[in-house]
Amino acid sequence: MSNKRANLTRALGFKRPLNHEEESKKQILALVQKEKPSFFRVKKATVFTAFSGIAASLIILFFLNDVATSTTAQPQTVIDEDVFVTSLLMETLLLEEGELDTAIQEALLDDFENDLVLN
Amino acid sequence: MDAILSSYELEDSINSSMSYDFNILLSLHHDRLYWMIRNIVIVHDDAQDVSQNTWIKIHKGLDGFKGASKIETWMFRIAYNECMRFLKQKKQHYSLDEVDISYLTSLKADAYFDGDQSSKALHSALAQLTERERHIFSLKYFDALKFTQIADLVNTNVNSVKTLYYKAEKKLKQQIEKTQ
Repeated sequence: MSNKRANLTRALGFKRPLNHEEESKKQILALVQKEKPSFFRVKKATVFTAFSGIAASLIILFFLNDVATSTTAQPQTVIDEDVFVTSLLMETLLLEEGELDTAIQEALLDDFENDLVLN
Repeated sequence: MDAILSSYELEDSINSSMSYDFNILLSLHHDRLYWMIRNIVIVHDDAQDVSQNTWIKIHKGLDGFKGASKIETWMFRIAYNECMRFLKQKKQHYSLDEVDISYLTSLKADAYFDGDQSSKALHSALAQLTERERHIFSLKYFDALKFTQIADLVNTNVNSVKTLYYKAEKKLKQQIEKTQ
């Protein structure tokens, strides 16, 4: 402490215990050392939080994947229907009207039977 | 001599990597922070508690200190905030814009106050200031901080700090003249 400040402090009449400065420094260093384990506790908590976060993300990804699979199943049936209609058109393109009706009915029956078998 | 060597060490560490050694800071600034805190909280035991909390916070925050302000100003700001936290916890309805009616009672209860007539007169005069005026006067007059540093600590502009300081000084002179 500078002389000026020491004189000013004396003017206020403030005293402190003998060797206060050294004792206080020792106490502060001891307290700071004690604080360190709590830092590791915080670190452990942070690791736990990180793992929880990863686990939660994986669950969400799994859920989203499941939803995506169920949503992509619908276009598959559309494609099947398209194939059925296209092949039917190709097969019946050159047929006369009467034969065409018979062919369409047969094809629809076959498809219906196929669906029965599948289900 | 130790303090001079420590100053060089500190300067080296600042120049090399902008990192600060806690032990060096403690040895250089312990007393200055203690007296700054003591002048605000008055009682030695309270000052000791606030000082310890301040140094723990300095230790915790040192890695994150980016050098936006001087390290000394940063440490004083932590100390001042700790003083405010302590005073608000200790005293119900603590206000910076009011006179602390328990000032002289706290002083008399302090085992480490041994003032003569003139220091008692000075404290009686200080007790007439609002807490904000007393803090600003103390930080300027006893702790020799710059007005810009004080403005940073008390979170106001420099002109307001100067006005409050001169107002406090005038009040103190009047009070001391009255008692003489």
